[in-house]
Amino acid sequence: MNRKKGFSLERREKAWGYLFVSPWVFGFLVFTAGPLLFSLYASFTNYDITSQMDWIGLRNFHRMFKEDPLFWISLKNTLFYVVLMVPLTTLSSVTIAVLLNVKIPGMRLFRTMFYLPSVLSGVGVYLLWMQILNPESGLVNRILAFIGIHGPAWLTDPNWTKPAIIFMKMWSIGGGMLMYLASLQGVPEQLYEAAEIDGAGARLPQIPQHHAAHDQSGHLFRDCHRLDRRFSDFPGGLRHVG
Amino acid sequence: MKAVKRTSLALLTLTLSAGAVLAGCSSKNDASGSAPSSGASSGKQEKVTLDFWTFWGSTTRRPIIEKIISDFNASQDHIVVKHTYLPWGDIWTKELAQVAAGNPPDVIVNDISTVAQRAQKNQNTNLKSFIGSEDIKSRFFPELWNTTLYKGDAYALPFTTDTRVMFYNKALFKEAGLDPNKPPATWDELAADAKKLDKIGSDGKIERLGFEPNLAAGWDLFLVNSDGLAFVDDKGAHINTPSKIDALNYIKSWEDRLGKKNLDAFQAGFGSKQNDPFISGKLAIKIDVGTFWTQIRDFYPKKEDIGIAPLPEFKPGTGHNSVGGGFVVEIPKGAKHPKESYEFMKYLTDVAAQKYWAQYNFDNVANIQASNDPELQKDPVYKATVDNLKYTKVTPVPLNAPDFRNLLNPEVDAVLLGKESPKDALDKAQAAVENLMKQNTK
Repeated sequence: MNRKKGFSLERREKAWGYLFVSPWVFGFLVFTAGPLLFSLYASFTNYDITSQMDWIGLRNFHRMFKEDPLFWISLKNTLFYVVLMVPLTTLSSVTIAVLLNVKIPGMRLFRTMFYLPSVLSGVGVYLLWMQILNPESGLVNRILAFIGIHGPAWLTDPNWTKPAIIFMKMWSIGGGMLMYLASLQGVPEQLYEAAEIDGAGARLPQIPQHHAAHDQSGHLFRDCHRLDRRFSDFPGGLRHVG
Repeated sequence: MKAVKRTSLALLTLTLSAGAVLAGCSSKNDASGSAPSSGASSGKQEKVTLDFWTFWGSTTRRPIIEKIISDFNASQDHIVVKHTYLPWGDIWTKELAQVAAGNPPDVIVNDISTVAQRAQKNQNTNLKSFIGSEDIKSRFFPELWNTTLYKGDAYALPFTTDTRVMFYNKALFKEAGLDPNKPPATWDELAADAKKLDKIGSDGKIERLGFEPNLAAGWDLFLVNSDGLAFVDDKGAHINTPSKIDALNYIKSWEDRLGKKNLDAFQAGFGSKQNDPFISGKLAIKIDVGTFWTQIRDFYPKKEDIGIAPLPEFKPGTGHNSVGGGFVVEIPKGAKHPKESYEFMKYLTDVAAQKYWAQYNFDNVANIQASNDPELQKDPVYKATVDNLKYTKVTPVPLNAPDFRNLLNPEVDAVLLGKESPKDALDKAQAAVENLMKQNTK
């Protein structure tokens, strides 16, 4: 009787719990963990999908680290990109979000304008950038010429391709900006009032501290997310420069 | 509570069994789908549908291949070919996945230089049993036929090939005081003519360029042209040969003379079609595949001003060596109707289809009779590309050096960026490729 009772309540609830998470567990095992472990194993073999899978030990890794002339360069480029890109985009999207959080007429228009580049995407934008960054007739070098700077060949000079990619990415920080803006909007009005009473000055400088206190978890998520995206963002740049 | 449990159990059972029934149905459909094919081979008039994958989706090429397919469909009554276009960047990756999954297309267009590699990896089908005693080999240029062999058996039929020729602008030659009917025949003449054709501002800015080997041809072509040896063939790697080192020095000397910055700036503004520097009259000599003529024909205002000639020789007597590639048609491993697929491939490589392809696409075709067709040869440009085939080498990538380019290209890039000397770079690449071949031979 006792046993039956335990079974019908706690255990049954547990069973239902497992039943409800099972699709996710199944998906994780089959589509994420499985392929992950398989790739790990395959990296020690000469796997070619159709004909062979023999154990060759660390041979592939030896080749990658010691023989591939591009591996270390790629790694260096990726690091360069991440180290510059993450602080730059975080800083500028916060700044723009703060500016766009001010209540003045026509603000919706400004918000739309800053967000618009993130909606445009793909090859069209890259073609546009190729024209803007053209060393002879491009907008950027024309403007630089007005102040006496002879602009570089942005997309072909190896010293300038990485900055050019960062430059292009900075144009579409609207996505991050929008997330910061949303959390700024969530800061209660009382906090600002309290700050004013405490004798804080103009509104803009107050915001970072108050905001930080209010919304740290959100930051962390976004920054990790961004870091991950930066590491995996290279194909876009390659398509462009390549 | 009990009732709830029963209901949900019943629901669960129902869902699962529905799934099973559906799965059963689909496998039944598969079975009935393959039944007609066996019927067809035993003489019943049930049609077999073949899925034919190409990357020919442009407004120029798509109508041509689809006309050939519809001609084939009309020519017999037991096979229907369906064309599937896949973008150039996806087609072979997708095919590989489909082969691995056991559900590949029936016929596919693939790269001519890697047929044996795919044969070795079980990715395409041995054609021996379908060819039988038929002499299909004699319809193709022997060099192209040889690319399809793995351990003596054919795994594909050659479809097209190509060749690099020199295009030059006679009007600009006249303007620069050069004889428009005497294109440069050696590398020295090329350099001398190009200097006369250049129009360069006092600040080094290039207004018009005579020629530049990397920008208007490609460094790899010049290296192979110098001694006529492919980088890698079945005899080994020929990367740091004295001629190839000289060739890379030659290429570097152009870049040094003109200035990398100026070349970058010149190149950055160009694209294809009307935007091609040769077609817009900003470049006097260009080396490209024969089909580049279609762009001249369609976009250059006075095409009779454009001359065509074989590549210049490194030194008198070293040969007007050019390189070619091309495409084959083959049956991916595991395709369901290989016999019918082969029949379609035979049609694709026969005279009528090949002639049609050559005529409208301006491509070099693999079928000798179609390539030498007198009607097609009336066109002097077409004839020039066919004549150039005798200087052209099509070299399959050896089985033990599949990705040797990954070892060579970065080294040459380093030379062109001024970070390494030509000799050091090619020595390094040679050693790396030899090492690769040794490891893959074990």
